[in-house]
Amino acid sequence: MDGREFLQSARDLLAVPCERNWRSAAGRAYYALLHEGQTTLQRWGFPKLAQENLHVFVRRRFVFTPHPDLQAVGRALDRLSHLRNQGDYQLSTSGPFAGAPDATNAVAMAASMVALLDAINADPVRSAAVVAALRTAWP
Amino acid sequence: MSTLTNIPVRVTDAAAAHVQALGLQRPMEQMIEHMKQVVVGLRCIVVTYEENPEDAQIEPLVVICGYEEPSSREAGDIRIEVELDRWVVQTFPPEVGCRFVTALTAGDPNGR
Repeated sequence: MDGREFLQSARDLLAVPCERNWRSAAGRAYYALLHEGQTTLQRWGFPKLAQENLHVFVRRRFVFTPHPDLQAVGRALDRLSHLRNQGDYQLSTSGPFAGAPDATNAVAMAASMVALLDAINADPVRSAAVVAALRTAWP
Repeated sequence: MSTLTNIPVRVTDAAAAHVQALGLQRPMEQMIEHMKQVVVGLRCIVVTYEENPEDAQIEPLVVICGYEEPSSREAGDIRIEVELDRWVVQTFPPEVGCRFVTALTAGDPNGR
């Protein structure tokens, strides 16, 4: 299964509007992008070692590599992680899950970043530049 | 584009201490000011320090959260988030930008 399939799970949750589903949709959005990020890094020649933490591995490569496309994905990951943490751990108040907008935006952001990864992969020049930036940052 | 500069900003003690320890007060102030300038329907900004609840390996983050009027944009319209991220990436090196998350929410700033 591809990580992006979690996007459909998230959309299914949004289609039944209630706080618990908005919280869960935020989590699915985060994991969709996390797994797509890992798959893409592997395709580019950067496999995660068995002992590495998946969240840390993916985040660091996208956030710390000085390339605008990668950092866009990294910043989206951090934002989605923040919302997911609220969704899964801060249950005492509704906070951003009192309505649909934040979860809806999270799903849209994850989908947008998955599309960005697809666009990079579809463009040999663009993907070569990204891989070169990664190789420089993570020799 | 908003021209309001009197939008309330609250920085928690933990966030202020973390940012001071990193020496990143000026970048934080720039990010706050930029958010004020570009986000339409901004009610207030709250800056918090966030450790990952699951894994201490994941670096803690300073979250600059803008609270929007719920009707200020359509749900799923993420252009402003993309613009905020683009600005951070263009303005700061990765080792600075990575310390901050700029988030927007339609939630209640009083936490209800």
